[in-house]
Amino acid sequence: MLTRRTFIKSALASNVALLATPSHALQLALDNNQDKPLLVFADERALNAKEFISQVNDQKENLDLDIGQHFDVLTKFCKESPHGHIAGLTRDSDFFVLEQLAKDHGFYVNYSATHSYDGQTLTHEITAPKEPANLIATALKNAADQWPNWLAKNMHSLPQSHQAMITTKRQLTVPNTQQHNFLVSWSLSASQNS
Amino acid sequence: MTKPLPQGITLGQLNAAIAEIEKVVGKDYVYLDDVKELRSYRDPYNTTNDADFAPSAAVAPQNVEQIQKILAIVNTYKIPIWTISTGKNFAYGGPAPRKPGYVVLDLKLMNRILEVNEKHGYAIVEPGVSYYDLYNYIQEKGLKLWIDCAAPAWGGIVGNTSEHGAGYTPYGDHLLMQCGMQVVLADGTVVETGMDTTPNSKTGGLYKYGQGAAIDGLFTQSNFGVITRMGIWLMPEPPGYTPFMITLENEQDLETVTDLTLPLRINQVIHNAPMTVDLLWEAAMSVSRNQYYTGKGPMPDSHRKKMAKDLDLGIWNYYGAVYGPGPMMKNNMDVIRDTFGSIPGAKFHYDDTRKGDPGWDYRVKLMKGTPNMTEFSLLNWIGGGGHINFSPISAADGKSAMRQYEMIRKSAHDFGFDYIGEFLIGWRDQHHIFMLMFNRMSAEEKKRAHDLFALLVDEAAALGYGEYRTHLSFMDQIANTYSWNDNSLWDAHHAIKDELDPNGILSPGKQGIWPKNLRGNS
Repeated sequence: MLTRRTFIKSALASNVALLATPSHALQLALDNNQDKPLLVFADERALNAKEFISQVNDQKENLDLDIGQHFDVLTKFCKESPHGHIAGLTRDSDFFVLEQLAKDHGFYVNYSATHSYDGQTLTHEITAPKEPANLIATALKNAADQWPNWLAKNMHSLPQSHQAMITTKRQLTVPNTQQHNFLVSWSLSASQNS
Repeated sequence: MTKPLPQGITLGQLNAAIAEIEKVVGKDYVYLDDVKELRSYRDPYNTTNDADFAPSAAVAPQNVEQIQKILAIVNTYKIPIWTISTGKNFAYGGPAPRKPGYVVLDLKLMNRILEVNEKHGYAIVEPGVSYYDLYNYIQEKGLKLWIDCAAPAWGGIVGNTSEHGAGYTPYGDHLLMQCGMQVVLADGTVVETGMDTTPNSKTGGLYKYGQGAAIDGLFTQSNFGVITRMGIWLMPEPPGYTPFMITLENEQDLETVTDLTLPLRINQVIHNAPMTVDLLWEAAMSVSRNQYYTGKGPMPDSHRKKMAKDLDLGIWNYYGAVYGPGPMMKNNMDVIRDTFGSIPGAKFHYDDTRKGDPGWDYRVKLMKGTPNMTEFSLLNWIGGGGHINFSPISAADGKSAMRQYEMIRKSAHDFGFDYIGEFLIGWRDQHHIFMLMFNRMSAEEKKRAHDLFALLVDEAAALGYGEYRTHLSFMDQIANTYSWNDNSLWDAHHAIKDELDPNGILSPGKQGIWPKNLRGNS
């Protein structure tokens, strides 16, 4: 489990003013999988994803236009790390393709979130098991424009259990949104992890 | 979550059938979990509700014998199954079944490449073989053969061919290149078509027809059997390949370029199926809509023109290729340049000047049968992009193309959507693909897209056009437009269905073909 201390530390590391979050809820809701192999995908052409991937220390893959170029990496990881964890901050289409490919290796979605900009409004829409969904939604909102950093630092703690999911939304006002594309963060893990 | 059930089937009956199927294929290959496993057997791009196409289970057999046993079980319980090969038929429903509760028969584990014959240029494959699989096999073996893949290429040869899919090399008419198939009928009988019906056949991949009625087509876009093997002709690697692109400045150039193409195409001066692609389709490869326009409704012309200028694209962008020895290609390219150079403002592009442009790069790959997934980038034109394809057949005739284009564009704009489309010129026809893209997270926008699509079916039919393929939601509506002589074609389909599948277990409703027990309810 991710401890409250680690959670706050990671948030503070990205200059985030974190709202008080019940430590018990955190401990129950967020997983700690520091020891599990993690493969992270990101669309390096998008500013937020570029910032995100720069903070990731695990095995990572920068995506180009043709997601087909990365099939071998995903397949190899799934075969070599059947208890591993795959995550990303990518274009919606890339997430869709990777999800479809991963399911044939027994890896399924347990968290996804859309991050969309419209005018000066940033919307995070999180789909995950109930407790982590609400915690992540709040954390992302609190992280303001540093949300990619928060995600990068908490990749290992994203939900990895396969439970019924809810969708929850948080909105905030941010400046200078025109340079940002619609992105999706997501997490897949093997079904035997649950 | 309540388990979706097929019409008239109880949970007890479903569970009993599933328990028997598990004994056939093993529990690991029966998928029941709605939260994780069955999510990937749905269609995220539907325009109604997820529940409308939610399966109750999926099962993945590994061989023909297991399929026969599964069919025997579902015949007993009268449970409908929905057959998929790789399940990548997105824009037309993907792996999702026509109605909720069907059991998906997923043939992904039947993925053997049974033969590749370099001398005669063909392959025999099982349904789970993807274009990537066959391409990689050919590369690893160093065979001098090309495949012809769909865009995107993660789909399977059997599935795409049986859906009447098209590609971009001279072998782009996939069903035309199909040669021989093995089919399991609803009662478990295994049928070979063509020459493989003869004992010790040596020519199954060479000659399509055998003796007697050629019935292969009956098993495509239908529900009369489960295809378990297929032969497909492969193009010998040519000594040379010259792709080209022509950017065209005006909307009306669609008429001219189409008329100029037909004689070049049917006389084989242009060897492959050339494409006339609209500006937004091309632009979506490298930019997103909100980089040029953040307003509601279709993108205004002024913004389109700026985008065309920035990206060095035309309002229409024409791709084609010639193949063969250098002198032959030079001869053909001279004719092509003379012909299309007559269009005012037409500009030719080649690899030396265009390489690195995302639209050019993926078309160059497709026209030489190199699998890629770049076309999926289109979905990022708007955030959370979903799409269904409206795909009427047009004559390879300028006025006909313009008529279809103007009809679809007007209705799309009336409904607040961009026109994103392309024409793929086959032999004498064109596949006109209008990619109806919508925000799949907006219920209102999905509804609007659904209503537009339904209107387009009727508008096209009124002008004398039918669609070559469609999404699950519109199979019945489109079937009703193929209505000549009091729906006699559909009466024939239904007569075959009733004879071959009396319990109506195989993909009920596929393309509008319903079994007797469900016909009145469709």
